[in-house]
Amino acid sequence: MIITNASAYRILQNNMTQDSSTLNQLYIESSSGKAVTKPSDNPSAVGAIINGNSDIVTGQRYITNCQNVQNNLTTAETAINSVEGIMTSAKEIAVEGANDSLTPSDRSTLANQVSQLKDSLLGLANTKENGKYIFAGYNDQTPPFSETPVTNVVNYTGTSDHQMIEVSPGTTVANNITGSDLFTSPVDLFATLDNLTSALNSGDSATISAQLTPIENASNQVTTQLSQLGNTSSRMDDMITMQQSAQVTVKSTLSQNQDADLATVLSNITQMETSLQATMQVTARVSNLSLINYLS
Amino acid sequence: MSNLISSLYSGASGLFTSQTAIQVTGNNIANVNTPGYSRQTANITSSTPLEQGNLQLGTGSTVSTVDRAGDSFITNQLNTQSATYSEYNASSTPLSDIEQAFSIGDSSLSSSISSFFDSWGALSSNPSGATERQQVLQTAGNLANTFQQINQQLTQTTDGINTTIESAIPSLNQQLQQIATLNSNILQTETASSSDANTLRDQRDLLVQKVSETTGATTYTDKQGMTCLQLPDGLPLVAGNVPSTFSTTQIAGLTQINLTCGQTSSSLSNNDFGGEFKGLLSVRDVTIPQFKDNTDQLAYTIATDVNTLHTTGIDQNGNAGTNLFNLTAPTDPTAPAWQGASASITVGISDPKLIAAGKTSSTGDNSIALSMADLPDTASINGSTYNENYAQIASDAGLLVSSNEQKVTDSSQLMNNTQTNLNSISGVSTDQEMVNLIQYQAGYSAAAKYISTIKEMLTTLSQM
Repeated sequence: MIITNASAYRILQNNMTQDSSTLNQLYIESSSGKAVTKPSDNPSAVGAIINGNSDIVTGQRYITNCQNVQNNLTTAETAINSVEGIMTSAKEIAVEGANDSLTPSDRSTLANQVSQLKDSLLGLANTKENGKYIFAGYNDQTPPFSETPVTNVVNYTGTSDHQMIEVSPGTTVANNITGSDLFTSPVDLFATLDNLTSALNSGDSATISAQLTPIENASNQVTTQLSQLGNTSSRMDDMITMQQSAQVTVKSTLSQNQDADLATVLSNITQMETSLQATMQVTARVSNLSLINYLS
Repeated sequence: MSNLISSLYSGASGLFTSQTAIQVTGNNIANVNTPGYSRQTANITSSTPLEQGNLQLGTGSTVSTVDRAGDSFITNQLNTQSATYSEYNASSTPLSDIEQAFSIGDSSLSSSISSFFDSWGALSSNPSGATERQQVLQTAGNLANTFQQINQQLTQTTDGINTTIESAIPSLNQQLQQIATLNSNILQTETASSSDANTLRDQRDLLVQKVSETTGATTYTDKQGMTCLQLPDGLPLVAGNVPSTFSTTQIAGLTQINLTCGQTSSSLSNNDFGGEFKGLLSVRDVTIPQFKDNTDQLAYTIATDVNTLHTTGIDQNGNAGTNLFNLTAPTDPTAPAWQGASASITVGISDPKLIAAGKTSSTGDNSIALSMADLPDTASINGSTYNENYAQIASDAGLLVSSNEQKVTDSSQLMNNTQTNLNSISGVSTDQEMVNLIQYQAGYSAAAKYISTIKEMLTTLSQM
């Protein structure tokens, strides 16, 4: 078979083009660090890459959500601890007030203390954090508890809704404790304090002693909420740890699918450069190799 | 006994023959890089002998014809293979454009989808937050924008193909005209001189190859020896010395190719062609509509899913939620509902207060936002989630590009091999020509030496 000049040069040119385009692709891989920058680089990895990227976004959202829930619950916890303190004080006053040796004026002083406790309790029930009333259910822009003048009855105007936050796929937790769960239902903390005040004012030891049980019940209601809150908070810690380790897994899978193996890429570059160099040398030699050179 | 004078003429014929052969060789060398040039060879035959007595005496040699090396089988094979290569090669640019629209990087549709639904996740933590609401509107705007950009990129690819086709038509018509003219010129020349019109044939072969590359045309030779061209579907492009004419018209933003042969005119589709036009038309009329449809369907599904959920909510003003995304319904009542969705999708809300985060007007109600953030986990489009669906579209685009790249490489290798085969038959090798040159030069010297010998003999004779 005769290899004509045109064939020889065309073949060399094709090889050179091929080598330099492969080399260029390798340069892109090594400088971007990615083996897959467009779908055609590896169509079968596209699904994994897109899922991985969206999993990272949702995973980070779950972590942020958990942290938000934790922050909100920490604020609530501070307030509830104070509520617990108020109920303990109320219990101490009740025990002291039931003492037969007290004079009516002593008891009236105690009664005043109890109504002050009620005022503090009302203040705590209307705790506001970042412009929101934390014990108001969904109605977080208006004070959930208000005291009716004259009758001194405290009413709850918030809702009994829990703001649910997604903390892992399909799992939601309550971001808030409602005022009704904590202050009014089933035991009404304000009424309990009111009852204690009137019992103290009545001056009857037996009536005062009878208040101890409701106060105890009220106290338990607060403690129950506090321990639930503690549970949720520690669950959030676990969730955050879990999501963070999931992120590491997702990122490493993503990297496997789209990142270039630099060691391989660099050794391929050396290989291709050698090959291109060889092609160039051959091209230069082919033009020297001609019968014309030997004709005088 | 022969006469010395006629011996001189035999010698002279040797000189002329070698000289002609050297001229043919020189022409070959001069055309070593001419595209489509076929190597020519001097066909040397011995002249008619003279009868003297009972002897047949030769009278030297002559170049009877100048032949053109070639192999019509390989030439046809090369035409077919160049048409295949051109088909794949022509699709590669528009296919890469499509692939770019469906990227997998940070600016992809997939990341717009993720950001949009993530902003609802953020809103669920703080349903009355002005920043979070603004963020929802912003990411919704980005999402709509990304859909529009994809649609625009696909439309631009279509426009690009239209332009390529339109600009190819005039030169194509000219080539058909030239082939027809060459057909009659070759016929005339060859009837008149009984020798082959080599240069004209080379020109015709080159033109035929160009037309094949553009249209996938195949050839046959008619009774008169004229090369006729026809499209793969049988429509004639050149019949003898009569060329057909291509023209274009614009129909609904697409360039329609028409072929007029004689009085009849027909409109052509991608199936009528091979070669470059088939590649371009298939991408424009099959691939792009498919990708547009898929994108429209995704845009439509996301928009309607979001709207359906959003309208069950109550906004911050206490009113029922309105559509977050606006779509324009297709004008054609028989068209699928999603047609044109990616082009028409816009955000219908500009006031952040109008976002319905919950089912009640309560400021802390986040129930809608919570369900919204869950939408991307639902398999709501052909059994996949939004992102899975997008990944499917993007990997389809990637697969098309990578398989087309493979086809381009394979077909170009095949074409190059055939080209090398054809070159080895009809191409010029300078080394070979040099050898011929030496050979003819030697012949020339020998003939000259012979003539001077005869001259000496004549001198001897005259001095006797």
